Amino acid sequence: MLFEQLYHSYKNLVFNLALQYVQNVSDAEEITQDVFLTVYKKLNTFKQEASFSTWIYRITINKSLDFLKAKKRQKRFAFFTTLFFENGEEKKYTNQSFNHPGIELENKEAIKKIFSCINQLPDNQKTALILSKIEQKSQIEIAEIMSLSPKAVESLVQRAKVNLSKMLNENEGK
Amino acid sequence: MRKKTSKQSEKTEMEPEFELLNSIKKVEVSPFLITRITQKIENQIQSISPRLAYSLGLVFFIVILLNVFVLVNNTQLLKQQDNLAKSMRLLPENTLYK
Repeated sequence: MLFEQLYHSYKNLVFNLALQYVQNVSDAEEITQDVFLTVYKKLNTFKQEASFSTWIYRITINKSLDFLKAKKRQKRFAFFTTLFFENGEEKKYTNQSFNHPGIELENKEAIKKIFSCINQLPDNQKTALILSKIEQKSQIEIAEIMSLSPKAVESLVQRAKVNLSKMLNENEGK
Repeated sequence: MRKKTSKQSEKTEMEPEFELLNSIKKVEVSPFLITRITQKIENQIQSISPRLAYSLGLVFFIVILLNVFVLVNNTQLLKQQDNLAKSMRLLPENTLYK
């Protein structure tokens, strides 16, 4: 009963945050399932040092980054696996299409480009940028979620902005 | 001063992109997701986790290995005792009359 209450309170937070990382509904749903399974298992170990939402944010961020790393690894080994498996198995490793239902059709292409650059940022810069610019979190909130000082968060966001603008300019130049 | 102007231009360059990011709307989760999660939880409760199964298997294997080791060691010890008794011309058995 408590778990269902928790699920209904935080389901959209988890799903939307995961969606900003993977930009795909089915992947975001998979991460959401994984997050709530972890919450169910580790609910007893939750220490009330931070708020519950901060804890959920941390789990979602970690699961999303782990998911992306696993996907990258799969892609790296895709070539070798295609040598040994039938055609049907290859589909597992193909890139899933950009499918973000929160984006309006007119902005889709532009945001897709921005996300492709955000995906190339280092993990901590990516997280800081997503939390500040998409999730609209304050610096203090981000600092609490990322276990950093507000100043460190500020510099992370700044570096992310600079890197992002460089990548976007390079992409435009091509 | 030059740095400041370049930073400012960077800021103005970035703004439209961030406005676009601001336009991303929140999405509702599929209503079927909760059933999938509860099913996964039930499945996990019913079945033993592979980690637990592996550790139990390992413990069982170690216990059997320990038993074999003790048995082998014990027979060797008995043989040694017999040999010692024979070398000292002692009777290793309790039967005095054959």
